Amino acid sequence: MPAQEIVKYGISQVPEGRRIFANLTVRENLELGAYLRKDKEGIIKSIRDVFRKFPRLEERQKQLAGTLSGGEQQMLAIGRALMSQPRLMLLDEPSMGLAPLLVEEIFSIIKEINEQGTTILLVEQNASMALSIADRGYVLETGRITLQGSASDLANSEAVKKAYLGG
Amino acid sequence: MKKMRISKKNLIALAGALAIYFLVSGLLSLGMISKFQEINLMLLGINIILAVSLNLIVGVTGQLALGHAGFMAIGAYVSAIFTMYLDKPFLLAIILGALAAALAGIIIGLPTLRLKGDYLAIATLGFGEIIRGITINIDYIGGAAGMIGIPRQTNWPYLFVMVVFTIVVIVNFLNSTHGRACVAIRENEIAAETMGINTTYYKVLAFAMGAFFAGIGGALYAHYFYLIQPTTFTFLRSFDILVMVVLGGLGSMTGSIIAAAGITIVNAALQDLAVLRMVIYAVLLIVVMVFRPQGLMGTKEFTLNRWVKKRGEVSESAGN
Repeated sequence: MPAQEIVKYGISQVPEGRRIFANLTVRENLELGAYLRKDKEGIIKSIRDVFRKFPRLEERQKQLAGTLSGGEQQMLAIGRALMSQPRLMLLDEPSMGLAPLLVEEIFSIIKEINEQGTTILLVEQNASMALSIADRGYVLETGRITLQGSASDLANSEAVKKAYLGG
Repeated sequence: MKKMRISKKNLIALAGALAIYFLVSGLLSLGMISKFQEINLMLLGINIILAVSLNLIVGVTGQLALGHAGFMAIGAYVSAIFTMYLDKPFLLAIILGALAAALAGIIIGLPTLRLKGDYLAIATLGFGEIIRGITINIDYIGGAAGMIGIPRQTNWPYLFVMVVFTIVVIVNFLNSTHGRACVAIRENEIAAETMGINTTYYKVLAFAMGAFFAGIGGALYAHYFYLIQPTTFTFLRSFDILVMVVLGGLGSMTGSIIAAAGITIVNAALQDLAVLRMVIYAVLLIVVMVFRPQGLMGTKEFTLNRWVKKRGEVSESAGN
């Protein structure tokens, strides 16, 4: 199935490295996230919802996306993925290149999105952070799942602690 | 309310276009435009069509294509066959020439548009040369000597209508969801796919549309200069058109129009200087590129909106 078809099934992706549309405004980025939707009023409502989650994006809605800071770009990438009203959202390394404080902010929003009913599949090298908000965790080694379980079990497992959580 | 504003804007644009049309018509009928000026007027219009259509491919969709002269050649030859050999009306010939060019655009686009950047440039460059090679070797269309004595049917009304038609169709396309999709592809193809945009479809569509209008440009060219040869459509012509697009600003249609008009006028004005002409032309290009690397207009459009920007912003935020 080609990549663009997958979106129709309610799956949206926040790609690694954010990949926002740098020369378009914040608002245009969000509008493109709703590319497959036809309900104009629903789209405007979704944009408002995104702005409620990320007030900083509202302040900068007419700014070119490329001029945003790294954290703001990550917020925009997540907001853009939300615009297609996904049932499953794939997040690839959302903490990449961000300051610790921003990582916490982003993660609390990811948790919020999840609590509002969107399933989240998060791939993250910051294991302790990821396990702190996750329900279930899977440890992948060279493409195979070597360990799985509830997030709290994993966080307390000796093997995971040793390999990923620094002792 | 927003609708009112748009239709008002369209009215102003329409009035402006009609004013230009009648002004030039008047000057032509009064004999105040010399033969030399008339030739350059035709070239100016044709160049606008070519630049705007190439901008759709290169500037908006971000696909560096160097085969525009090839599409122009197809439009020129096909339309000339229909008027000269088959005695069909000019308008029908233009449409068939444009459709043939669009078809070629789809055939070339499907395999080559999976290439990116310089690879696509080389592939489309090759396509332009193939078209030239084919035209040299078909005796039916005159071979290397070309077609001579094509009825001279391109006149100011035809030119004007075709220029306006090209601009209106492409600008409306840009302001639609389809145009947005094309811009998204230029900005980031992978991200565009994750938005659910069928990137192959839009790249081929932009390519076919660009080719269609290049075909119109070619048909108008053939029926004004009544002589077309394979050497009329070398890659240098593709390059000339690309220069206009880059000079005007990639993605800016008004930029393309201004640059196409400007380059045609400068070329005409320097005609008497013979050798020096190319030197001055080149220096001008270098100067513009040094001081405006993003092109004359950047990616911006010169719109009536900008004059009433403050009002526009207020009404837009009120609309939310």
